[in-house]
Order: sequence, then C-alpha cells, then structure tokens
Amino acid sequence: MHACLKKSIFVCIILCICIQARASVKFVDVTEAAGIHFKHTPGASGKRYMPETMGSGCAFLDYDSDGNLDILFVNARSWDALDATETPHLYRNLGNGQFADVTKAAKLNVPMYGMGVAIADYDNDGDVDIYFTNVGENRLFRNNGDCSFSDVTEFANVGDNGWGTSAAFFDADRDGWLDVFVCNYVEWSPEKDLSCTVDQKHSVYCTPTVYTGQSCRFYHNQGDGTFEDTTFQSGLYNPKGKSLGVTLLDYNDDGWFDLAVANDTEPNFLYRNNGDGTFTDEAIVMGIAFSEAGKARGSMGIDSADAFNTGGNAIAIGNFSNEKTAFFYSDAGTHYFSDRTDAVKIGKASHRTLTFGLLFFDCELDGSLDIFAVNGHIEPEVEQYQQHMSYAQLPSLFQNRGDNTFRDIGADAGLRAVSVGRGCAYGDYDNDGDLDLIVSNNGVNPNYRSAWLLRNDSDNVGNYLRISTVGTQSNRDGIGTKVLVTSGNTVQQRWVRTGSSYCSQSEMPLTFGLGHNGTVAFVKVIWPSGQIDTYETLRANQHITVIEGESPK
Amino acid sequence: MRRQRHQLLLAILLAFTTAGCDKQTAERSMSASPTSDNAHVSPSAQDYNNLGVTYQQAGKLGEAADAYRQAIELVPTLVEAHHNLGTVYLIQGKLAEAIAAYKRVIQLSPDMAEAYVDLGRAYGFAGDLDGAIAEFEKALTRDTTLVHAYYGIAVAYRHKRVLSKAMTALERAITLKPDFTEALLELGYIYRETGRFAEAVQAFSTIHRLHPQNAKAHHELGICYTQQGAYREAIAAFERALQLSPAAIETQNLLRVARARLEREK
Repeated sequence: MHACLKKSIFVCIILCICIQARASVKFVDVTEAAGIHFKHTPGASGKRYMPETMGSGCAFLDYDSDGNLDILFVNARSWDALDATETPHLYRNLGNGQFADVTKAAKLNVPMYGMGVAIADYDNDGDVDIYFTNVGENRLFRNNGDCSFSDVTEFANVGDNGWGTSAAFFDADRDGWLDVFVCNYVEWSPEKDLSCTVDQKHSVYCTPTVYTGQSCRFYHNQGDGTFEDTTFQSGLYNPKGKSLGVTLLDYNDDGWFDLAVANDTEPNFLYRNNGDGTFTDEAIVMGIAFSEAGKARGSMGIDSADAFNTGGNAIAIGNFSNEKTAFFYSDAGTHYFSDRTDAVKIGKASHRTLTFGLLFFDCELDGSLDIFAVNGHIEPEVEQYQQHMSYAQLPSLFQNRGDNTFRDIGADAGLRAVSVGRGCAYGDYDNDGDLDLIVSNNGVNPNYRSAWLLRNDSDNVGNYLRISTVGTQSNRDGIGTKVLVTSGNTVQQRWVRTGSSYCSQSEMPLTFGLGHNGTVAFVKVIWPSGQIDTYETLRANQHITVIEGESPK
Repeated sequence: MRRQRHQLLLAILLAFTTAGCDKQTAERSMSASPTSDNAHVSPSAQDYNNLGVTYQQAGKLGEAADAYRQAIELVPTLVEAHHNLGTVYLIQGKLAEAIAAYKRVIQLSPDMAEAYVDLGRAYGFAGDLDGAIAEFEKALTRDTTLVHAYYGIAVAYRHKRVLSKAMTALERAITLKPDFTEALLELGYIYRETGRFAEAVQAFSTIHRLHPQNAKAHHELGICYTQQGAYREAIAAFERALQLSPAAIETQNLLRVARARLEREK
C-alpha cells in the first residue's frame, strides 16, 4: 500500500514535470494597446466590385534599421480617385511595445488601391525598400535612408498596370541584384465589371471564373536602379493563372530558387529555375497543379518549408471553403509532390474555412514548424446562401505534433476572435525571441478590427537562435541564402526569403526553435553566390548577424 | 391561406394520381415506413404525406416540408411524415430540425432501425461524429444486416482518422452486400491513403467488374496507379474513365499528370 502510494506520487511528479515542460501556446491581441488603429478601406459602395473583398496585405519590416520591427498595413481606397484620401499605414516600433503612425513622415501617404507588399533592399544600399502591388499601377518606394521613401516606380520601370496581388523579391540569376516576381489576378476594371448573383435577385461578389486571367510579371534588376520586364523571355508569361500567392523554394535542391504560385480556380504553377534566366512550369508533372482528385482549387495564400526537418519540401496552400487547405509534400530526394492534406490531419479542420494568408513558423520554438492561417469568406451575406458558412471566421493555428501531423490549437492559444482575414505575417517585434503575428482583415466592421497585432505570450517556449544575413557578394539582404542549423539530433533548414502568405511579408531574419537544447552544434550558411560559411558551438537564445565570407576560419 | 392553396393542389394531385400519373410514387411513399399508430391515421393526413412525397420527388423541398407538417398537424403520430420531414430537412441542410424529426420518429417507433441510421447521418453532417457512431451502433443492435449503418460507422471513423475501425466496418458491409459500390469506394480510398495500393486497386477493380460503366472506379484506379508510379496503367485507366465520362475535367487533369510523368521517365 505504502509502495503504491509512493509510486503514484512519483508518477504524478513525472506527469507534472512533463505537463510543465510542454509549451502553453498563447497569443494576445495587443493592437489597440500598441497604438495601432489602422482601418482598411475597400471602397465598398454596394456595387460589389470584386477587388473590394480581396485585400489587403501587411508586412513586418525594419524601415529605419534600428533593430526593432516596424509594421506596414496596405490599404485600398474609394473608387473615385479624386475623393481618395486613404493610404497605406506605416507604424514605427518605438521599442517599448508602442508604435507610432509615421506614414506621412515616411512619405507613404499616397492613395492606391493596394493589394499586397514586398519588402527588400533592391538597390543593395543597406536599407529596405517597399513594392506595393495594386489594382492599377504598382508602386516602388525607395528608402532614402532618412526614414522616408521616394516613389521611383517610373524610373525603375516596375509599374505594371494589372491587378497585382502577391510579390516576391529574389535573385533569379544570382548576379547579386534582387529581381521581382509579381502575381497578377484577372482582367478587371470598373468598366469591365460583371454582375453576379446566386438567386437572380441579390448581387454577390463574383468568383474569378467569370474573368480572363492576367499573366504574372517578372522584372530583372539591371543593377542601376532600373528593372527590365523579362516576363516573356524568362518563360513566365502565362495569362491562365489568376495568381494570388507566391512562395520561393528550391524543390529540386539545385541551389536555384524556384517559384510556387497559387492560382484561383486554375492549376497552380511550379516554376523550375533553369539557372539561365528562364523558368519552366512543372506543376503538373510534379503534382501541385491540382488536388489529389484532379481538381483545380480556389487557391489564395501559399508557403513552403522543410516542415518535418527531414530535408523534404512541404507546400501549404490556403483554398476556398469546402476545398480544404492543401498540404503537398515531397520527401527528400524524391521530387514529386503528393497531396497529404488528410494524412497530416489539416483536411478536416480546414474544410469549412476560406483561407487566404497562411505561413509556416515555429510558435513554441520546439524546432517543429507550425502553420498559422487567416480565414474569411469573400461574400458578406454568405450566411443567407449557405448553411454552416460564415463571413467572418476564426483563424487557425495548426500545431506540429512532431509525428508528421498537425492539430488546430487556435482557440486554446487565445485566437478566439473572428475576422475576415486576408494577410498575415510573423516577426519578433518585441525582441524576446519568439515570433509574433500581424493580421490584416478586410474592411471595417464593428465586430472586428482591420488590423491585429498578436503578441506571442506562450509559456515554456523552447530556446532559440535567430540569424540575420548580410550579403557582400550576394544581394545585401542575403535573400536565397540557405541556413542549416544542427542542434541535438535535428537539422533544420530555412531560406532567407520574401513573398509567401497572401499579399504579405514576414520578417527576413530566420528563427530556429531549439527546444531544450542550450547550444547549437553547427550552423552552415550557403549563400546565393556559392560562398559557404560555417559556425560551431553557438549558445542558444541570441540573435546573430552573419556576414557573407566572414565566418571564423 | 397556405392551407387552402395546398388543398387545391392536393385536389389536382389526387386527380392526377387517380389517372395513374404519379400513383406509383405516392404508393411507394405510403408504404415507405411503418407507422406506429396506423389505426389513427386519417386519410387526409396520409394524402398530405403523399403530396409531400410527390413534391419531394419533384425537387420542391419547401412545399414538401409544408405538406409533411400539415400531415403531422392532422396526425401527430404519423411516423412516415416525421421521417420524410427529417429527410427533407437533411437535404436542405437544416440539421437541427432533421435531428429533431428523426428523434421524434424514434420516440414513436423505437424499433425502427432505419431511423437510427438516418439520425446518425444527420449527426454526421452536423459534425458530431461520436453521436453519429452511437446512432449507427444502435441501429445495428436492432438489425445486424443494415449495411448502411456499417457504412455510416466507416465514414465517421474515416473522418476521425480511426482508419482501422473504418476498414473493419466497411469489410463487414461488403461481406453483407458484395456489390455495395460506395463501401468499395470508401475502402479503396482508405487503402490508398494508408499506402496499401494493391488492395486499393483490388477494391476499385471490383467496382469496375460489377459496374463496367462506372467512370469513378477507373478514375480512382488511375490515381492509385499514378501514386505507384505505374503511369502507363494510370493513363489507360484515365482514358477508360474519359470514354465513359468525356467531360470530367478532373480526370482530364490527372491524365495530363500521368502523361507528363511518363514522358519524364522516358
């Protein structure tokens, strides 16, 4: 009896230790407290213009290079250009948990019908520049280095006039200068607008099936502040896309960044970088064009990662309601992808949601990548037409269980507010090592705000190593750099990237969750130039900056 | 007012059914399920029930539901009207109402095994998989040969990702009804999901053998072959599916995948 009691107490202690050791994931909405009062203005006037329900994105960036992440929310505007006063909003991180709206001082108070944003140092001068994708002319704002920006669109020749959505900077030909790939959606203008209905009485927002697609664009950086539109020459011209999201990955492990593009109601693209300035679409043969059953889905946001730390590639794509979020996976060394949505257990949980932005990140720093997704229908009155469907929806947080499956812990993690989610991004804005989130919601609604800043307040998170890259031969941001971190028995690999999610951009520094490991045994940094730098025995819980070619000999 | 409109329609309908226009439908509906209290059924209630069946078969679900409700108003114990009303609600996606209707059926006729199956389906559609399984199991305690109860259990367990239990239930259903196409399809999906491609091929091939004109079986066979890297066989299966269903865009897409991969392998 006595022995049993002792055994029970021992088991209880062990259980308590185990329970305490597991991270308790928690996100807290600190938007208002942080001084962020952004209002998204889609210009909706009852005409049901399609762009009104599609935007907009958001980004984490350090525009003043002070080491604190700032926040940018893209905004649309009213359809009457003369009346338009709405602009994107840039919030400067004051370093004390507070943000100040510096839009005007930064000279970004420019009305645009904004959709997305890509951030990078395209001119290699040491500060980040901003590319806005719009319905109508896209805009490139060069960072003046004095906390302000100048519109250089015309000079740089990147003002595509289509319906731009997501975009990504990367050095396609590894010449040291960042090129830019821009997704375009459909041929639409107020003059070309079509009326759609589900009951012959009420207008609803159209789906893209009624419009002609618009080709994505590719601009090659010429190194002198200008770009050349090489969409045709590079093999990237394809007007069938209706593209909404793009993620950079190296799916064939040849050292060149490839592009996976999410298309709405059309087959997705997977552009193999041939290394000679041209690309070849291999989505059909590689297996990400369609669902397992052969269906082209309504794809929006997209991200990619080595989700299970096996050297394989995962591509997650947010899809329309009743289509499930897609999870394509290719094992290391086998380049065909298979649709493993149900096998990884995100199919059922994502079946009813309409997912726009989604991203891989390690929310509890255990070394396993989780998935955050924002959801929201396109039709405000969907409840009238479809049972068990809602306009505003809960976000999803799919926690990686470490056994090649995920579980939605969103509600348990404090994500209990609905919204019409569109963009999302991660970044460590409070410099505490864990990753926080921003979300951009569509429109202004009494039930939810247009912007969310979700601070990661998880308990018992793991150790971490954060790495920023500075290229010398390669582009200055080090975009395209592959970093492998060995700690314990795990090798994690990540790439410095832009793009991913939906119309949004996360921070560029890489965050490696280390779990209980207090040191990192080995770091290998493979730069786009081919330079390889290595670092050994680094202590955990620090943010290091690696400079190309300057690792210890 | 609404009742007057229905009475008018009823009169017209009765004239038609008397002339043999839709009499079979009405008769089938009248004998579709047992009643607990047939002695108390007034002809008028039964006629409303028949009217509902006719509306339902014409796809007029709102009118059908009205007719069933009127039948129930006249004879609250008319089991088949409750049952039919539940089915209409289920088709309309009004799951809470469907569940309530089926529960009433079970209250009136506790040994009616099919009602538990329908209640289980309603729970399943509502996302209550455990509730669904419980009802299917209750159905089986009353009739062990109810293949749709086994099938329902399998679908629920598949959604819960308890694949071993789903497979057991499907195998039982197929033993009882070897030509149960839906169960063979489900079994094929599960085998495929779990990497048991040879068994998946066998399941889909059985459907093909039983129903040579079933394009779905060829389509699914093609997916199996693609996943095994047997692209020639996949192409043949997709082509057969397209012969039977030429407009199937999904099959056309997968045929492109198989052809592209075969070309790549050459």
